[in-house]
Amino acid sequence: MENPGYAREPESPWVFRAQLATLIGFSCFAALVITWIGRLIYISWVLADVFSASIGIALVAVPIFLGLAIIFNYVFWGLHRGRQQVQLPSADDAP
Amino acid sequence: MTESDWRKEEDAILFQPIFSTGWRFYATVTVLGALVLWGVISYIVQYREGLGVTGMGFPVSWSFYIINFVFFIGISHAGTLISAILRLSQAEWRRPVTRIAEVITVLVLGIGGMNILIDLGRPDRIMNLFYYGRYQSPLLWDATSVTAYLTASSVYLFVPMIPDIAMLRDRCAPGWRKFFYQTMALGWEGTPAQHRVLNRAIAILAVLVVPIAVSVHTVVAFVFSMTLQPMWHSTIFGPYFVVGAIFSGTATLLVAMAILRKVFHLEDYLQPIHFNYLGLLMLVMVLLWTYFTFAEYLTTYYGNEPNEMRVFFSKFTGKYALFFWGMVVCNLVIPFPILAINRLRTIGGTVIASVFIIIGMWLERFIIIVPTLANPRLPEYAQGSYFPSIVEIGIMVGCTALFCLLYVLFSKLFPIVSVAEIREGREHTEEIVHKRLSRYAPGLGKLPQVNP
Repeated sequence: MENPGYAREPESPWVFRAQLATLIGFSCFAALVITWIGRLIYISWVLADVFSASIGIALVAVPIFLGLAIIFNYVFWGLHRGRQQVQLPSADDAP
Repeated sequence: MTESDWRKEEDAILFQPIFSTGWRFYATVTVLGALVLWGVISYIVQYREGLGVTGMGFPVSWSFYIINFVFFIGISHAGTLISAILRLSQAEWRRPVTRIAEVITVLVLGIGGMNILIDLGRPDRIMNLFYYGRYQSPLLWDATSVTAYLTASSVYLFVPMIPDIAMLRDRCAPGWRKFFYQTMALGWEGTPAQHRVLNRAIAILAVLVVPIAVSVHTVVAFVFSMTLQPMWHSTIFGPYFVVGAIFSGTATLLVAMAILRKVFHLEDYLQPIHFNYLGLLMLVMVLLWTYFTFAEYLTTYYGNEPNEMRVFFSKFTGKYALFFWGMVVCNLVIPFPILAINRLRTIGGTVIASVFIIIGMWLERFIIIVPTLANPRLPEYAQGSYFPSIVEIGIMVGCTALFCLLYVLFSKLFPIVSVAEIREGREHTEEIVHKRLSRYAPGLGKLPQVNP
């Protein structure tokens, strides 16, 4: 593959802040859904309203949202840790 | 590299829709925007006047919106599921197809979910779901599984797109767009460590989304099959809906591929072989759908239960016969010969078959929902009928136009074919395939050296 051969400018600190805001937003969304499911379980427990059904659904749903949040965090921090300290020519360069 | 330099590089055609905007783009956006506006106005009318402006009533209390919900959720199986299966099975031909499919999933899931809100005469009451939801209701299973699938599909669309976003970041002039791409690229530089992280995440996501996708349409089917209504209370509804979903999803994917191929001149990327392979997949789905439909209707007919027979005959020979036989023609009679005969399974052939299948699958959703509600089980409830109002038609057209509009806008912001995957395939496919073949094909030696 042809290397375009250019140097990228350093990113503004606002870029990282915006990225962090996205990560926090996504993690909060997952946490909110899990909290909501927890609330439904609590209500079904208090009202003795087929508690087992709520637990059954939660056992499937909570790990999915938790897993997605973990994967997104893993990608976010993994890519940031994987950056090289020196200025790179281009993102096109595959190893 | 400046914005003008992208024209000189390989795969420049994939960046073209992003960096150059023609009059066709504005014309498309205007037309689709006008149709969306029609939908919005229709919804405002419904919001102000109530559900009385629709054709729904008693006993047919579910109609166009729920039909569209099931239909759109079904189409969503085009993307993430097909893409994940192709990725996991390491099908090399997947590379230009996956993104086109994944975008369909994310957009139609959002629009499908929106149809549930539209179906609520009092949308403010959606909050009751959050405050007092009961998990023994299949409707709440649906809400949870659709949210999970939408979230998973969005992440699954975004993560493989990161290298492409980084390319766009590097080709953009400073401004809001560069800031946007810089933010979304998450600092991608293409280092070996980053590739490892990304590949691992994509592999985990691909495994995760397959069961979620299957569960979503199974749960959609449970909304019907958990009731005791005639011709809904069926044990095969779950797999029947999943098969129908993959069927309509593949058809939508093929239509989208054909349009993008023509509009963006992607003939080098979307080759006849892609249409041929997906056409073969669709042929399998035609047969599976026919098998499930036959099994479902034969069991009902043989049981001869009076309430079920009323619904059965309203579909076969009664008020809804036109829709039922229209569905059979669109889903079996027309697509089967086109897809089964090699000579007909061309780009044009698969697209014609796909258009009929999309119409047929919408009719199937109609045929499942309306005749049962029009012939309820309880004898004191009178038989009903349904005819859509202009408000419902407006909202349906608006929803479809919104999907197309969002798709157009997506293709204006991101490459609709994954540039990174295409380049990776170009460089490594031969080696990857050879390595895989050498694991099970005896006597396959080293990869022959190709002279430059």
